[in-house]
Amino acid sequence: MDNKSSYASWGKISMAVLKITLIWLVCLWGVLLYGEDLTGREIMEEAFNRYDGDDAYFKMEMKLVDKKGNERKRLLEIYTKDYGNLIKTFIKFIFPPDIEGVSFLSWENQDKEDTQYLYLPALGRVRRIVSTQKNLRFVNTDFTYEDMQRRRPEQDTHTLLRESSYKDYNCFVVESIPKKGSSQYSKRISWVGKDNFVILKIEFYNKKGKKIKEYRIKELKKIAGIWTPTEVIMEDLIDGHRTLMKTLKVKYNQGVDDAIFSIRHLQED
Amino acid sequence: MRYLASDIFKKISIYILTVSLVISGKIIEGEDRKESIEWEKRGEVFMRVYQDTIEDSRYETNQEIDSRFKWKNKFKFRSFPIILGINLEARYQALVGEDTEKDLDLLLKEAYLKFTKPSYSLKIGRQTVTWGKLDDIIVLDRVNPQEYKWFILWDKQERKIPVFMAKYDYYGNNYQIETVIVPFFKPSYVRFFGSDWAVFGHLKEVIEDGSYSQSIKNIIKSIKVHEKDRFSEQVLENMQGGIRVKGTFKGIDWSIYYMYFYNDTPTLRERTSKGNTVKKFLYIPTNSNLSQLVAQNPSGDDLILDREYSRLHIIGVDFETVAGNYGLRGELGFFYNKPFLRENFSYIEKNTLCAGIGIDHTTSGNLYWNLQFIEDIVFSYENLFSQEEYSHQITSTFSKDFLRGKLTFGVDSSYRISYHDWMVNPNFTYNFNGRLSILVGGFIFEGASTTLFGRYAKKDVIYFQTTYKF
Repeated sequence: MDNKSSYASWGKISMAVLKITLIWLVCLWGVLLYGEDLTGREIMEEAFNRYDGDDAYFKMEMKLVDKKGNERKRLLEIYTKDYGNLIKTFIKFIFPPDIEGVSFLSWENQDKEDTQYLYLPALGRVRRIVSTQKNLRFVNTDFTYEDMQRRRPEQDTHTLLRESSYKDYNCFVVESIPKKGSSQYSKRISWVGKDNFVILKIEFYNKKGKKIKEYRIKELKKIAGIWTPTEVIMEDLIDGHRTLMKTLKVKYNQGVDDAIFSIRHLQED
Repeated sequence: MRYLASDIFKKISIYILTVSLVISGKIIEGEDRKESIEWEKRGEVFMRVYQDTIEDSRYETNQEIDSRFKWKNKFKFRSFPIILGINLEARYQALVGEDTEKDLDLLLKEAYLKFTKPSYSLKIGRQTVTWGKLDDIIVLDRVNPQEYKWFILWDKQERKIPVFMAKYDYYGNNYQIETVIVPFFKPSYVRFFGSDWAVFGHLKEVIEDGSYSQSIKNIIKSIKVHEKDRFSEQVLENMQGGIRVKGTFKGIDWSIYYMYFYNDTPTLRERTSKGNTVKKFLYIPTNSNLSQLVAQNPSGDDLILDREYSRLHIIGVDFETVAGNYGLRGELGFFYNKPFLRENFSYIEKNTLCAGIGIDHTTSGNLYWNLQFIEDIVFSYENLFSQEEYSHQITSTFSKDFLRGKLTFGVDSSYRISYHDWMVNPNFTYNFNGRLSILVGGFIFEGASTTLFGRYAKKDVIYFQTTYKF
């Protein structure tokens, strides 16, 4: 081995050691930052602010399964766009025929009540609907309107309970208690992925403190750089009914037309 | 020349249908919908059977069968901002009784072309328009005529008769302007004689088969209701139009309307003064009124009543908003020259105001309720037949889902406070799989024989409906 090659070899080894050291330091910093210093509130804020695209299109299959295993299937298309303080969502049911053509438009405002419109083909017109009754079931699924919306961290008091694992993911387990009766639940306990800040599992407790529902991600994929739950389940622990939602198609940041989120589109589509 | 205009518009409808059929043959459906034309189609087959609860007379229909096949198609062109809509319907309807009537119709329900741009759209063809905010009540929703063949057994949307019109919508930043031009007049379908649901029911048959003299029978038999030529022909002088401006202000959706329309439910106009006596007997069929009619020895034009449709100027407003957990909506319309019958059964036009307000809510137990209050005011009031100066009506809807929406129980009702007549429609629906559903329900009518619902007080029905959607 000549000197040149020796220097070169040592140089490579040194660089490798340096890289490993740097990576280790970064990890250690991460563990220190996210593992020990992060509060429940900060974890939920990270989860809330996790980048999920400026706009998105989903085609989803929804299965309603009763405790006897009887299934009902629904297909829906969802368009959503984040305008900063305003999130707009358009949902259109495309199957089965009895709800085909039913469309729903929601403007999720930050500091005031949401604005929601529904188009029912049988009614022949767009109807402004109440957005404050979040405890009602969303089209007879196990999701309530409250479950369908992103809950802002400031609406709850959060406590980091422990660290645990869910499937193959290391998680923070955070208890969230609603402030000022802002929810139908007395508390939620969420499993938040330590690496990706995706909420992987939620336990819902009623006002009497009894666990009544459970939300679980069955499949999580990274699509266009964004962690995307592609299969989720919401289970009613009281009556054994389940709602499974499977993402059949997803597109992020395609420049969804603003016109989709208009009353005109709701009526015309 | 006026016939020429009518023919041209008929040809346009046929042309739209032909083009659509040619196009439909060239469409390839695909999951990604990358084809030049996107074809949305859906349809349903249903049959509804009404069973009369009590046989009150031998003229009554025991059963009514209404079966329909509906096929709705929408073609969206990717290269052009055009939508083509073709809705077809086949109907088989039967009134089963002593004199069974059967009808089989193939209808081009809707056929339109819609041209859309970001700031406007233009829709031409046979179509249906929904204006107003109230549910199942007609205050401002007057663009399309209604089919009253089965009285109100169908709800407002189902009763609408699509008509040929041009609809232009302009979309501003925070407002929208809608204009409709209806070139030819098409009245609502109202049957006067020969059916349980006809305005005068089986009156002619009752007299014909009754123990009356032949001269009386001849008089009643000779009573005819005629459509005036200018209403039955499709002529441009019957053109109607309306404009609606709508927007949102502080969470309230509002609209302002002006309409120059016909009152599309007919009023019967006498040709001679004796005709008023004819009307008096028809509306109040007592022996004394019959005697009074016969005493005048009517003949010829005395016994002919013309269907008349008044021109109305309508100015209106509506709104819709939410207040907490409640939905609120309302409509108000001022009607210039609405037709009424005087107590002597002659005809008069009065200005009226109609206002309605509705509130709805879903309870935490998932019970939905909807209440509406409607007030009618007749200006410059004088004594009118079956019309008070101030009249009030309440409608209600209650519904509740069971088994996660598979089973629904609903009750619709309407009570006309001023006339003490009412209608109740309870119904159960079971949905099997999102395609097949069955419904069992009933209609109960009560009130004095000269009132809207009371006229059908002997026509309570139960009904069974099965629907398959595809």
